[in-house]
Amino acid sequence: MEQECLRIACIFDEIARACEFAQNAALGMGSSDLEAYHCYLAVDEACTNVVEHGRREESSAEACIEVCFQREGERLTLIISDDSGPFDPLAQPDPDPAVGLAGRESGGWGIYFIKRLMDDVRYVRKDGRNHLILSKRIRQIPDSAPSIDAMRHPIAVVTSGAKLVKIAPSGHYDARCANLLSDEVARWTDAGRSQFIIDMSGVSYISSGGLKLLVNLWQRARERRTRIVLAMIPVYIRELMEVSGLDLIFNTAETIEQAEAILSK
Amino acid sequence: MLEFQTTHLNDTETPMSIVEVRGRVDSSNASELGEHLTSLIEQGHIRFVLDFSLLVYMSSAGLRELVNAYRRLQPLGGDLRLANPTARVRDVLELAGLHTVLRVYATRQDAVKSQ
Repeated sequence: MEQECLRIACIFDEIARACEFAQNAALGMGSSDLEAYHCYLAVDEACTNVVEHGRREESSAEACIEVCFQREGERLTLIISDDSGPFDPLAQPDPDPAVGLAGRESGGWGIYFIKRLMDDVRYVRKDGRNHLILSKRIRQIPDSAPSIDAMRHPIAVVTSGAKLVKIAPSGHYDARCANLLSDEVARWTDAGRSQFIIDMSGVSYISSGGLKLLVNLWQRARERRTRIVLAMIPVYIRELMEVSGLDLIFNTAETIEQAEAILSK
Repeated sequence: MLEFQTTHLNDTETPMSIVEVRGRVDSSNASELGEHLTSLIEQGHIRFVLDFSLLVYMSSAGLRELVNAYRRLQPLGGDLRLANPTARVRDVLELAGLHTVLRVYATRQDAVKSQ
């Protein structure tokens, strides 16, 4: 059985690193984006509890939280351990989602989320540390979170001129809709247009699988010798592009005016 | 990364404040959301639409701030509505049962227009 671990300091700003570690552990065994997100959220809630409850007097920059994962067959086990005093979060009663706001506890939801997102949750005190052991069977459940966004990928053509077309995609993009944007650009290329400004500001989410949307767009543009500028890219999509190197192959602009200036050169 | 863009609508029947919340809300920054809403409430704004269309992630730390803001608004006769939550954020609202307590609308326009 393989095991890898990451240690982080006991401060809120460090938690995202542990979450990404868990998310990548899930993706690395072929999980869907939804399952990986569940692992991210569960580790976020677990580490947040440790930082909030574990060190009441002062938050510590020392490495006190360790997150380990083990992968065996379909099972992913995430172990979050910390060196604060004994605290069993599973001993607390669950909050009730059916209770209205008046009688509602404002805290206690984190551990409840973990129980709902994972298949099994256990607590042990061992070697002077608290261990929360989360286990999830990775079944490659398709991203079944289409409640609002994923079902709707409107691609609005804002304006089209003799050469230039401005396109504004919006909504949530994952691997299933990777061709939408390049198909739209191809239609306009067939109609004789050669310059495109893609206004990215309305794109609410791109999953790692959805990055293929941009890869396909770039490949088609290269084949057809069209010029494309991506404008007003939300910060989190820009981060995703930087991690994957896509920022290096695309022309990007902060504003539509700046994109027009790039194309007019 | 967490950003707010606030627009006050004064030409509607009842004045409303639209707060577009962009990015991610987790325990490292949830207090910023709480403080932003608190400062608006202290300025006398009590009817809010939180536009979540560009909010890609929220943990229970963010929900806590929503519940606190809602509780603060109730005795003032105020209101807190949510517009267009992304799928992930909707999941979290549903896990906590908040989708039945807070009013959630498909679009910002629906949230503003609804009585």
